[in-house]
Amino acid sequence: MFWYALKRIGLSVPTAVLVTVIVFLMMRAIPGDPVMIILGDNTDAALEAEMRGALGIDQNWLQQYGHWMGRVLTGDLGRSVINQEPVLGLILSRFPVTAQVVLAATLLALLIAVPAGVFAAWRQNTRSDYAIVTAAIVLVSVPSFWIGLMLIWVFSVKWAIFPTFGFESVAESGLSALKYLVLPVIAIVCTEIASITRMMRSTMIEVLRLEYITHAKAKGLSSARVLFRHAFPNAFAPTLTLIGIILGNLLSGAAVIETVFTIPGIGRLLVDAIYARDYPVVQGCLIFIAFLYVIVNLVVDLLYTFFDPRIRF
Amino acid sequence: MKASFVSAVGLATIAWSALMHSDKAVASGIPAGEIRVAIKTDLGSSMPGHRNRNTVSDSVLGNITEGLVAYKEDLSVGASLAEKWEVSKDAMTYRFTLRKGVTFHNGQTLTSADVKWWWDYVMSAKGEYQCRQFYDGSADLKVEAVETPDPLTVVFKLDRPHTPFLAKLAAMNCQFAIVHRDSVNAQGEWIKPVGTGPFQFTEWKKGEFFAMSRYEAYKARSEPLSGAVGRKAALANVRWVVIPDVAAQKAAMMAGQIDLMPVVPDEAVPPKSTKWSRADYPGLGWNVLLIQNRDPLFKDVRMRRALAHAINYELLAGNASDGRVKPNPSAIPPLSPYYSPVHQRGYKFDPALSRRLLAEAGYKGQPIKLQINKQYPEMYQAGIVMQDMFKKAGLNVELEVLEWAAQLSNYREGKFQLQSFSYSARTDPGLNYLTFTGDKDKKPNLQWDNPAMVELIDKANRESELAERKKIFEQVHLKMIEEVPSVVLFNTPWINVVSSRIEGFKSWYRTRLYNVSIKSKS
Repeated sequence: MFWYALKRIGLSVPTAVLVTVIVFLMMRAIPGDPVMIILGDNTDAALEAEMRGALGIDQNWLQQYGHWMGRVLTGDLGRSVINQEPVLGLILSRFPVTAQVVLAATLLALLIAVPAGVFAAWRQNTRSDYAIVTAAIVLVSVPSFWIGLMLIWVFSVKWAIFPTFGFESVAESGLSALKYLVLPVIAIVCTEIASITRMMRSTMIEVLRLEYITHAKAKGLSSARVLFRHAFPNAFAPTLTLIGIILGNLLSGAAVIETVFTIPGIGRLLVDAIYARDYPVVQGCLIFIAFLYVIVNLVVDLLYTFFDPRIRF
Repeated sequence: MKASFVSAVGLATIAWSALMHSDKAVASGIPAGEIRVAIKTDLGSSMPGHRNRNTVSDSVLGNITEGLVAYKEDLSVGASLAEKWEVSKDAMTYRFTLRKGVTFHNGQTLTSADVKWWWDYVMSAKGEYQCRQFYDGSADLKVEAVETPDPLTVVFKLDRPHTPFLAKLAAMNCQFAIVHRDSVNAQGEWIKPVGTGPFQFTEWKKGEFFAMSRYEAYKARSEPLSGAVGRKAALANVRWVVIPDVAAQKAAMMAGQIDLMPVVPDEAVPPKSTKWSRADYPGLGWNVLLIQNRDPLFKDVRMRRALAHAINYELLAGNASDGRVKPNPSAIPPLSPYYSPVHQRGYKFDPALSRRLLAEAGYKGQPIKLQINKQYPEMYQAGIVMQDMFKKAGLNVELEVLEWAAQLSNYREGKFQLQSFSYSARTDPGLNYLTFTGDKDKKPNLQWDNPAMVELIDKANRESELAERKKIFEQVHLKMIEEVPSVVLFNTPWINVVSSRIEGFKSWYRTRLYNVSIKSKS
């Protein structure tokens, strides 16, 4: 398993390099550059030239890419054009913020969605099933930012229970930091449980139709044992894959949620950097996200062995 | 089972209590003694006038630092760190006498040597000062020397008479605000602002907040406050909190978690309540319709005039501000001492005249693109309203909605037919006119390539008498109306939302937190 993991990480390096090339070219192809954004309607040519020189963007693309990659290989992702902070420092300070919100939300979503999907499949075509499916359809149809704004409206503005903005790390501030997590976590959970519930339900329904389940029931096993010991392990794999994809998406930045709740996470960092044409931050963030996807998918693949002993690495 | 249940309930209770701990902050919104101001973006730099500056850093640092001179409420220049100044007969030497007993936030007394040191710093490459071109001769003026004959006297020697010199020193976007050399490290790299203002720098958590606290040893001037000149006092600590989304700012204001929303669009203002109020300021930034007069269609002045007469200016300005702003056809804001009734002359809303002009120019309905962006609501809304007006006058105008960076790029390269645009505020008319007048071959973003006007503006910049400068600017304005290089629409309103928890806040073109206090609970 260790060598398999190492091999997967090693194979991701060419992917990351390809990502850097694509991101580099795309950022430079779109109109505008950071100097333009900073100076706005000030068009002093000498100042522009000085700033472009200081940022290294007066060189041709190949030279710019070469210099940047050379620094990346030494672990230096450069400095933000906007606030001169080291990019690696920015990512390392912002990512844990996103991670706290996303991991809490994903865990909560799993705790709700997986049992709900299993239950809906077990009670297929009953009122309970219809209620769960309807709830899932409604939740998947509602945009996360709307849910976020409604939560703020009710719980922060009307009832003044939770703050409308800000973030404190649980590691630094302890349990009192949880008040900043509640609403964004709920907003993410509302939008994620729908897809997980529906996937869990559909795969459970398929597995419950198989002959070995009928055999298990005929043997006199309890419903709980049939569901959780025999059906669930075989039905969970696609849901696990989905969770991996969702987690990867969210960890790379729940930018909308972070904007609505004013959370200083990596999603907002990336979006702000794109608008500001902050090339080093965008490039650095996207390399990080590429590796993140690799790690998340690797963890998901390794977890398969718990549910399907036939899978070996 | 029972024990597990009891333990679970107990833990949940403890967790809930912890969660609600320090809820004083949530319930009351803000720690006692601190004013919270929402800002849409973080500061570009904590150095006044740094090339990464933005309007937020200008506002914030205007509370921490001061210059020799500053703007008054009526946009005339007044003394700030200077006690007074004298201008030589040839208008090429400015002699400033510093106020006695002014200290920096590190306790050091302000002397002329500090002014000289800061001047040398910002004029060097290390200073990364955005407005070096104001003084280094690359644009026009060159400051030949800065001398310090005694600890309270600073003398600037110019290479020519230059009336906007004081305006440049006072310019909020590039204010020559004096800081102590402890603001930089031994290598000359910027650390933090050690200024002389009523507030001092406390903490900057980038992307989250910028905190400033009261400077107890601040030496105030004696006269009443006017603009940034006069008696100032820091009456509470302040935290500028980065909340990029205006809907989130609105929610925070309604929840009592922020005290001030400066410079927000009209739609961000919460519904009327006794808990907050709206404080508007006419604003100095100006919204314009940019016209690319090198475009085959708009080379013809009749086409440009057709555009100008198709606009209902009252409706357009009113739409941007819920009826609170009036149109202004001039590059000079009404608040300026240079504004006169002549500057009110613009274009009459006359769609029939527009149609006649279009017919005379031979316009046959060719599509015209009007570029707008969603990042700045005043540009966006003005563009949408203008498109409708143009269509009614017979112009086939289509909207091209771009990302701001893309529109800005097109502006700088002159790659547009029409743009709904906004120029940032410059307080001297000479500086305003120079943003769009000049050689279009050298700078494609310039609107008005008229050498005679460039000369006239230069003449105004060398003229020291206000009355004479006023006459020159009137001539420039009338010529502008005649030639229609672009169409000035209105000054962008500055809308502030102020919590009833604080008092003393007065709208101005920068956010001033001095003389603002938290109301005591009775």
